[in-house]
Amino acid sequence: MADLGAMALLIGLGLTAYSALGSVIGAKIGLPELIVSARRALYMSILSSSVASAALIAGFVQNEFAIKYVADHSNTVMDRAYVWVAFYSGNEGSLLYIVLVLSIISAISVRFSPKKLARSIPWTVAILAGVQFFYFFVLSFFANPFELLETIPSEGRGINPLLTHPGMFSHPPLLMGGLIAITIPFAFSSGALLAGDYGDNWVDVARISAILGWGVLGAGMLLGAWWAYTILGWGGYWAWDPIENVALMPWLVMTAFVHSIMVQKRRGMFRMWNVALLNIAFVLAQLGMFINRGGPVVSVHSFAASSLGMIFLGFMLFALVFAFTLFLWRMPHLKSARAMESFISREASFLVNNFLFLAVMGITLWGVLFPLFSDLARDVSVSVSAPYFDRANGPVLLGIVVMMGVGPLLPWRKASSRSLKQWFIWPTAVGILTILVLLGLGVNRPVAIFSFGVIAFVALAILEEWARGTVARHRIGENWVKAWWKLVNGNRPRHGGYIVHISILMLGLGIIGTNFYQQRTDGALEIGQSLVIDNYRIEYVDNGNSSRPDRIAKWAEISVYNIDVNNYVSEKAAAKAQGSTGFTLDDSTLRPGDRLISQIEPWHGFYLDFNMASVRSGIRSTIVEDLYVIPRDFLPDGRVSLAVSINPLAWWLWAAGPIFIIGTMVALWPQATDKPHNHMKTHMTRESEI
Amino acid sequence: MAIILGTAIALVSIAVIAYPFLGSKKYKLISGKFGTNYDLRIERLGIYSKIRDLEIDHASGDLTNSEFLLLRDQLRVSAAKLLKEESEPRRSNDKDELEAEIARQREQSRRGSEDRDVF
Repeated sequence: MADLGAMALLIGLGLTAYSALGSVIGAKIGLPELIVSARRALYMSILSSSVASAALIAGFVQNEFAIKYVADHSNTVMDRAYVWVAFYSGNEGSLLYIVLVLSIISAISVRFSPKKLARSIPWTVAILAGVQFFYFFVLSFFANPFELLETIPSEGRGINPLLTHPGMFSHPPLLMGGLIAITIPFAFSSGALLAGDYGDNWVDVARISAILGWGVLGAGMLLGAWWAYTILGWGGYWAWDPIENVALMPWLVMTAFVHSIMVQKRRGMFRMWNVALLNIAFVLAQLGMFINRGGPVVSVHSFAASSLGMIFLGFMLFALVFAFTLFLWRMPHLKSARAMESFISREASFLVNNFLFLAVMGITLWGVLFPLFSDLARDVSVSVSAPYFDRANGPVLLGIVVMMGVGPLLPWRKASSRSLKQWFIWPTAVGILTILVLLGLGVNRPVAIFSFGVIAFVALAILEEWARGTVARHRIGENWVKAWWKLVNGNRPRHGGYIVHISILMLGLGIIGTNFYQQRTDGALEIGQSLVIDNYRIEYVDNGNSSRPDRIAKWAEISVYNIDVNNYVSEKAAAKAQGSTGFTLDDSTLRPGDRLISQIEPWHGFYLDFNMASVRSGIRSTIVEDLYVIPRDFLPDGRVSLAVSINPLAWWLWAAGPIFIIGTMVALWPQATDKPHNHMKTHMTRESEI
Repeated sequence: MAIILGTAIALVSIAVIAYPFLGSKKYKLISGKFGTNYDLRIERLGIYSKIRDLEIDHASGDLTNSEFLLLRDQLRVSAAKLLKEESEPRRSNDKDELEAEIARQREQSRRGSEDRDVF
């Protein structure tokens, strides 16, 4: 299998080199056969990457420990289901996965691109093949997953314990797939510029591929947050870790792009801006690859041991120079068809929202790079942690949420004071009312209260939009459901966007709740003792353990009771006096009002080969709050050390995921009545005319 | 076995990419007059798409009636001009029809007609 895999990589290298060069030469000298041949070479790269991937997976399935990568990332006792995870769990395998995804999406995007792009397609193919060539090159000569060991071990090291989680089946593939998918819209826009096609022909393909990559990347980040929440055992879901940040930054720029591209599509504006956004996103994606693969920033989940840093740094710099040299060269031709007529218009709101997204990206980038600059300039190692990102990005993110409500309410071109009053009055009133109600209920934290008000404002703005359209349709005789459905169906990009906005509001609820109102306590309990926090009593009932070839596992059996706090007044007062949010009860006798609501088994494992501990938190989740129990350690005296937190509104973080995906799919779904698109005959049917 | 499979993949790849040079099918570049006409058609269809978007914006209240009519009629006139350009080599009576179409569009623009089904 190793020989076959290595050969497939070399064939892929040759095919993509031929495809890139053939496309450029064919376009320059006008040789159509060469252009078609080069395009076919791009298609054939799927075969190479697929065969190489299949060979590596087969190596895992057959426990071929002669292959170093297989020996390093699997063993005979690991659950076979994790073979797929093992495939991309290391540096070399993840690069192979990336080139597999890139080859497939490159071929699909070229094959099904509209014929109006015929002139620029050879250049697009050249860019796509060029990027693939780079990855095949790295795989063939610097990070070959088929490298053989001189001495074949009888057993492999096993998979990283942190990766043995259901989220790992989808989080890394989506994240890597989303990052590399940014190459597609970048290739189409740059291909058009290289070909001298300065119109908006590339807009539709770039928009669709950008939304697809953006949605996949967003879903990947959300799954990563869920994974961190359930397995990393620190009670959080986002740590502003450099690797998280390098995925977030291109996502932010792509978010700006999927908004501003609509202005180009509808109004012929922001041409330069959109090309620049794609360039920035592509370069940031390469920065992510650099930092993830041996870059100098340390992260909990980067491939820090890799020596590929300089290679990826070189490629990132090349991408930067190429993208912006091309941009500057073609800039005079990218003037917009129209000028902005008013700053109180939807176009202007898109621009403001774009600036805000770029501001968050810039703040985050500075936080990622500052330790490097500090190290280089002053030889002082510093780290930039969550408080910087929270404080600097928090207000800007809140501004973005405000714009989510303002933008849809503004008309194109310019707004009149009458229309402003008409559309803003109800959302604003509900936002203010929300703030007043929360203040009346005695809720503390002014920033959080204001944020809830903003969320209410945006939610009502969306509902008002839907209500307005639905009522109008209902008046002409359609029932309510049909009227709403037809409204959404009539403009899927827009209403899909609103559904995504709702998911962002849900995320906002979770972020505010967990950041502003989280309660924590901890303690070491003997069997029969309880930890009380807020209106929960957590009783340590029993424990269990098991020994497996790869790990020693222990778990705690815990009963969770809902309590009547009036029966715990004295203990609570004593704890409060000591500045603690919780206290320990020695007596296992239940008190009046104590009600068993859940039994959980948080789990703690130690992996000998990795010298690493891994936990599974016990979580009781409701729509209002999560009770989150982490078994830090099982002490020699029989006690268990528990960290307990109440995470208000955390459920909304995860509920937002499916809504986000649904919204993205609605926005992507082709418009059924889009008759003019009949002209978009594909290369599949018209390859004879290139 | 692996070597045989690898060689087979290499040979299949070479055959697939060599086919355009060896096969009987002839390829031609979209360029010159064909390319120009094609571009005009694409641009015209793009304008139809923009008109549809305008209608959606108008229906959802994002554009006032007067703005909608103004923008739509501007686009219609642009589309009609492109249609004329595309059909320039055609017979004169076709040309007359195009002139009539442009005149009709201009007239509609002037009157602010709400007819949406012209295209």
